[in-house]
Amino acid sequence: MSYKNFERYIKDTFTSKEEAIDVDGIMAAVDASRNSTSRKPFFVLGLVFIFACSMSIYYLNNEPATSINLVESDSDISDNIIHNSTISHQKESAIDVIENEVEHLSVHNKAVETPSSNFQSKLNFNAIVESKSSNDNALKINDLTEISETKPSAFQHDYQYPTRIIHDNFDETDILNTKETINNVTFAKDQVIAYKSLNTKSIKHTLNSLINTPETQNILSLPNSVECPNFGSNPWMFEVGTILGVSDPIKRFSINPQELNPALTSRADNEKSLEGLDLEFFLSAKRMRWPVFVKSGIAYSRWTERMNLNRDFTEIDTVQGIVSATVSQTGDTLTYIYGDIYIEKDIQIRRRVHYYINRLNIPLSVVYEHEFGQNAIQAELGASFNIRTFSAGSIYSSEDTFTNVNLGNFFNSLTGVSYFSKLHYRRYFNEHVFLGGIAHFHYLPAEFSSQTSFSQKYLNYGVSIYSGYRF
Amino acid sequence: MKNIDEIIKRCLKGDRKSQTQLVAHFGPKLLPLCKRYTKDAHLAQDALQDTFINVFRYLANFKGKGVFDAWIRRIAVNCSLNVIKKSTFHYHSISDNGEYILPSVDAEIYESLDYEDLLEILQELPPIYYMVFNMYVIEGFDHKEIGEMLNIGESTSRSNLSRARKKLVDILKKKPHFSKNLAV
Repeated sequence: MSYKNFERYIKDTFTSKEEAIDVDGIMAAVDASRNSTSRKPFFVLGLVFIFACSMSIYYLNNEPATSINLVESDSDISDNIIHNSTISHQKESAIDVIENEVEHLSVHNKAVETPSSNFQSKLNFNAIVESKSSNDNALKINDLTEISETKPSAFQHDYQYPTRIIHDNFDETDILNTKETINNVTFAKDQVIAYKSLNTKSIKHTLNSLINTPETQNILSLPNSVECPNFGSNPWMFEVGTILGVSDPIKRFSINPQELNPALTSRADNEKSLEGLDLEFFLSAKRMRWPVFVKSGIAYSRWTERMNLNRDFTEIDTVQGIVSATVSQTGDTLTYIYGDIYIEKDIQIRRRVHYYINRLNIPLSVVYEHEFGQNAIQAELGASFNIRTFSAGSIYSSEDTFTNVNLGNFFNSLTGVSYFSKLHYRRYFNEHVFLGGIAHFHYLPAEFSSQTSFSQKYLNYGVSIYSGYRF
Repeated sequence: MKNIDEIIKRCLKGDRKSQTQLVAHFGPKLLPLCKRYTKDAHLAQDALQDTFINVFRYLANFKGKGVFDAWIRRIAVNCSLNVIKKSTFHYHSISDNGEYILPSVDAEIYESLDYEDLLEILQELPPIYYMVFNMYVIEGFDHKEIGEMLNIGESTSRSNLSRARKKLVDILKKKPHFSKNLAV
């Protein structure tokens, strides 16, 4: 037989070889892979969506304060007469001049809201000092959001009253409330303001001039004890947000004394808990000015266990063969000695395998919050109700065998109630958006093992960061 | 066994029965292949599972060019190589204290060697020779493919094959089985 034939013989021998397989096991692995693959895109999309929402909310709430929605450009508003203006002072020193009465605003053209960014065109806003009855074309106070700046020369009376800023959604009631609250900064009645040739280029200039008036300086120096009016009627406030964190699961592993399983001993010695990942979406409901509120949501955590298998042993194989052969001196006799041949092999096994415990929980907690300025600290106590525990990966089961953790049914699918405490620090970037950090500790009394041969319980502590939106 | 094309079509439609048929048909042939590459029964099982996971994931990509058997074997080889890369499992034959009589080589003796004998002989090749020999001689890959799969040069693959062949003959000459068969 030529060498080529020898290789063909090897190929035929190997390709024709068949061995029994565990079809069900393979199909189970295929199904498990399919499920995990189908979940991944939703998980990633969910994260991206939440991140995008958080960032959008953050940026939307941090638009420049000069954003103004105002009357249409190029529209002449003449014969506007404004009486009795009140200046209210907000906590952040924003200066709003609120009209108590806008009795006679006649508009030649219809008022239209215009974004400040497009506010390039001239805005001719002529307000003439006169008193007359209202008419159908009166410009309602709600039609105006913010108006800044008039030319000082436009005032026809000796009192110069340069500006007015009107917030969105103010109604008559709001104005009256404001008047009552801050009546000490109400200007004398019948003071009339005239506006002429108002345009956007001079808005900043007017704001500066406003701030520099004695009246506004008084307002700016109002003591902090002056409480801003609350125009909202809903006493409840809600928060939604996302928490992302890492944790260090502390495993408590014990072996049933009646079990003599070296694999369990090896697991106890060599299996190590790695860092865990936590993801939570929360919703909280808080009553205004109450320091305590309730919080819930849905939480996912993933813990990883790593097993390092190090086994060194010697394996002796015995084969039978010709131990020696001798040829007689005459060369006509060949003597074979047939017997056992021992082949000794030193075998080292080094293997590192992981399995994962995934938990889906519904946390329910009570939070105490203490705010100081734009910062707050919170103490949270609660219970977490497990709705699903699922595991994946391979677990060390015997000698040098690792078993699919699902096929072996090693862990419970429900792990009951756990208890947690959290300490938060958060910072409010505006009235809606906040970011924070958490240190937390979890106590999980439930048994994770579904087998009687060993017990596996956990404690868990970690840190997280979060962002949220308050409304 | 129904026509393999029909089974593939049904597998693509998600028919679980056909998928099971596919596994039952090809699995027994692929398991020895995986064992040959991984040299470990458990790693071979892992490689076999990965093979079928990939087969069902990429079945739509099989355009019918070539033989399905070759396609699936190629996936099995790739999965086996990946399993070896992932695992830190080492299996060393450090010493061999047997005493041997080294008969002269006679080609006719090869025919008496069975699967286990041949596997044992091949596994005595240095790992890279063993891989290249398997992939070239048994699986039928060319040197370019082997180079890509093992991340070595084409010429390296070619020279490794030559050395593997020479080494194989040397190993055969040293084998007691061979002496035994010669004596019979």
